[in-house]
Amino acid sequence: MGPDTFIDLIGVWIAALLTLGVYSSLIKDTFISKLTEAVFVGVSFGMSIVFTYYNGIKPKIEEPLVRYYQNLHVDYATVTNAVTESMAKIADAETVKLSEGDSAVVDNIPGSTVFDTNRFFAVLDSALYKQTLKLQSTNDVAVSLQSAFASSEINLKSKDAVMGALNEYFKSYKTVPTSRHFWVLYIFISVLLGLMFITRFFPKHAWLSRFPMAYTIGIGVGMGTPLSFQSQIMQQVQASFIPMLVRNSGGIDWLATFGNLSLVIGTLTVLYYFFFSFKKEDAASRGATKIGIAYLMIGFGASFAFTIMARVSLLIGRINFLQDEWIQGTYEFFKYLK
Amino acid sequence: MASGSPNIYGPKQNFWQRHYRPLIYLLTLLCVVGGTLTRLPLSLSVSDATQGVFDTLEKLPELRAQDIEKQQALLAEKLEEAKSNSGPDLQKEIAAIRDKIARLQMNPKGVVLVCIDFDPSTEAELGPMAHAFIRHCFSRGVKVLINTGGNVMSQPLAQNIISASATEGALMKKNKYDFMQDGVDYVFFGFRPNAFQLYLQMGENILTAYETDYAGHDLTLLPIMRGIRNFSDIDMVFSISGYVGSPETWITVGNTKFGKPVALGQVAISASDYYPYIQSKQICGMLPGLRGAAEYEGACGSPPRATGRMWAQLYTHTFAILLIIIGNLEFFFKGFKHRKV
Repeated sequence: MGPDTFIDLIGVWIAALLTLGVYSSLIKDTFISKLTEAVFVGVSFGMSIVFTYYNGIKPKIEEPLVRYYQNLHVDYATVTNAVTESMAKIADAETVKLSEGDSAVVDNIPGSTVFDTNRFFAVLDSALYKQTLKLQSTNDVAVSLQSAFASSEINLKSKDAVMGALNEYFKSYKTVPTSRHFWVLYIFISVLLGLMFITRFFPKHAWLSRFPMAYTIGIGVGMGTPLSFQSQIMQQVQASFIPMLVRNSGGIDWLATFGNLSLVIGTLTVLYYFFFSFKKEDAASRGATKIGIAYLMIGFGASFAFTIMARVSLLIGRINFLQDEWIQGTYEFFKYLK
Repeated sequence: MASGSPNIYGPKQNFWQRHYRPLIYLLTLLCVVGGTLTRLPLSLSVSDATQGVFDTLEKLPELRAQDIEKQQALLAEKLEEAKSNSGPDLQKEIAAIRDKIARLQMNPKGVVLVCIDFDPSTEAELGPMAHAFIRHCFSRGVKVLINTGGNVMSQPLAQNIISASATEGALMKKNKYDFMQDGVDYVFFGFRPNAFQLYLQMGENILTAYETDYAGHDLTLLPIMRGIRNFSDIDMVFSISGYVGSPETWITVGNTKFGKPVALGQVAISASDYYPYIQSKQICGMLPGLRGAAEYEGACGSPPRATGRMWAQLYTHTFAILLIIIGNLEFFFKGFKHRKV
């Protein structure tokens, strides 16, 4: 897969030269190898910041706050008219569907035989109180309502019931509910906590950074500890309680028995090796320690072999890139131009 | 250096001692280049760890059918109960079970969540396994949800892998599939910060955790999301990770908290840390490094992205073993010489 356009070709050449620049450090540290390292770190951080803004700050803070501000100033009548029109269209569409002989199908949808006012209100809430919904836009309101009711499976076959319930809903409807004001307060507190991390750069006010740090660690530990304890300790300990003698239909399964014995001996001796509370001077202690060391060495050996495989895989990836995209890709690009 | 002063550089080195490193690098390079140029077929046996991942995906329709049956039995039980007691709580419970059955029936072949959590530094190793696994899902008609874990740099790579896998179904040796549609057959959520909290939130409601997909489309409008609300609608999690800690998070949240089968795709360097989780049945299988990817490609008939690289692995490993033997021989002979002195 080579470059398709001239810009792609330039990109491939830059990547190839940077790859060679990094590998040049195998011979000697040079300006080129240092430059490529700096470019790698700089580009990684630059891209991380941009991606974090577009995937975190923009959708979770900026857009909802802008929408909140806009929705504060929206005309109530415009919104209710847009909602009424959209709901009328949705109800009409359901009626048309029924007249085409779908009544049996609709009646079979779970929960669809009775018009459920509470569920209807809940779906309206989820459609109209979405943090990013632009209430000024009739189209956005219509799309949001359609998608919400399409996935809700509420029976809308009686238009009168729908419009009646809608009028009831409008009696307590606010374009921006009270809970949203509290939500904005919560956003501001969160942003403030985040900004307090930056006080680390100012020694006089660095103590302020302890608050967000404490909050983050507290949340992490509180949420993670019970689950991690369960998955990393309890289930692992539970899995080491295995039968020492494994039987199958033909008698003793020697292979499985050996595997289980090996697991139990390995677990106990390695744990014993790391037990430093007293001197291990007697023959039994020294023997157990040596077995523990042997198990550790086997483990380290396996890790080392995997490490070679991992590093070689990365080298293969780069060599493939140089062969296929750089050399062959450039050749094919100019061949195609001719 | 003035005569008589101590030699601070140690004993004088011979030619081999001075130049062995560049020579080893050069020979390693030759092994890799030779391996990539070798076009002979290579047969690989499939390990139990890899087979576990493959089998779990193959059994998803069966698992989903069982889940539907279980929910239907529960519904029947509740309806029977409702004859004598028709309180509002019971009605809500019945409605929730009906919703759940309707959602499960929308994706009879199953739903898989694939977490692509690696950056360009490990793409050579993990990219092929992501391709192979997603292609296997598509060939079986399984709906695929894709997110990225704790690293924002995974996004562009994940996007490339998904686009390629969606359009290259005809390249499969067996189980070919047609063009897969974004938002219908698969959805890419992109990145959101705080992976652990995010996964927990996904367990409650995916729509509030992400709201939009990577391209900015409202998730509620995507057809694929009609039958998927939270973890209870997902049948399997496959975490492809190049970082320490990311697989543990999935094991903790996906398996321990939500009871879903979790499979791992790991860089070889940390693969040995996760074998105990197979023994404890906390993960259903694992693809360890490039070898795991090559085994999986062989099992599901995917184009040989990783398998084509295994000759280079073979040559380089043989070379490394030779070096270890030479190094040990040198150690022993030097040791004997030292004892004689």
